[in-house]
Amino acid sequence: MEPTHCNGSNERLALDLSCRGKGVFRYKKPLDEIRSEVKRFAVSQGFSLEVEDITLAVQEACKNIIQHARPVDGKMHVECRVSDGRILIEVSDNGRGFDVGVLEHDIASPMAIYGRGIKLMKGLMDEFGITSGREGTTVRMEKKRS
Amino acid sequence: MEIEVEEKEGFNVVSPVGELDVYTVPLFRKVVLKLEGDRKHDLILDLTRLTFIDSSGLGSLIEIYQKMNAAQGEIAYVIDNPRILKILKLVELDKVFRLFSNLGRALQHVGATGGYVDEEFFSDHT
Repeated sequence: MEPTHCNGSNERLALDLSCRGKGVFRYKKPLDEIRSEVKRFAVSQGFSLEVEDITLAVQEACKNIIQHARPVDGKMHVECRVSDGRILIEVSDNGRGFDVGVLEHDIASPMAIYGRGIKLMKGLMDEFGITSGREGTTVRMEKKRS
Repeated sequence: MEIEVEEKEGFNVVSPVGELDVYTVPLFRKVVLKLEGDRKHDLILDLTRLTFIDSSGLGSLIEIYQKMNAAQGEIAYVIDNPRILKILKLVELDKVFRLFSNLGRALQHVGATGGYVDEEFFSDHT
């Protein structure tokens, strides 16, 4: 697995994580690292009760990249910053993209086995948006500090 | 993740310990779906020692629910962690699954007909 690049500061966290690998093992290292780094950053910015929601939402976004995106550079990019008491998160890839229109009428029903990640992210965060095209996909999320 | 399996009062009780996520779901499915072939026993998933669940973990709970229903078996879920309950509620599985706040209640009530029990406990944790 390629090395991870991490650029953390008091105001901003930027992670470039490899999503190449085989089987379930391709999830373990990047998702563990995302969780610990995002948690550390959120706590350093005064978030507490919201931290578990934030880290799970970011993990879900990254899991979608590993499962579906096939990024050209083999990486997923996570950026977090804080402004006006809100954590702003972008999770992006330069993979094959998808038609976001399907999300409007295809949010998983309670009993569908797949497709639950988007619904979870929407529920966990205060704001959620997704754009996708030939150059990749970007998920933007926000959560207010309590 | 560790998975404990035991037979109690005629039920198979499965207790995953730790995190149920995209990484650990394959093991969990393997253990539980092997039990699903055992039609003599209904199933209780004791999730009280679960510390984390993601969308893949939720998917595995649904798959097991559907397979048990198809086999006309009973299945119930024991949850006492408000965090895990919150995740289930976000995807509306609390409206589908039979939830109990402890194993004793599940053992007592699974098999009885009717709606969900422990409504007070679950309504307190939104």
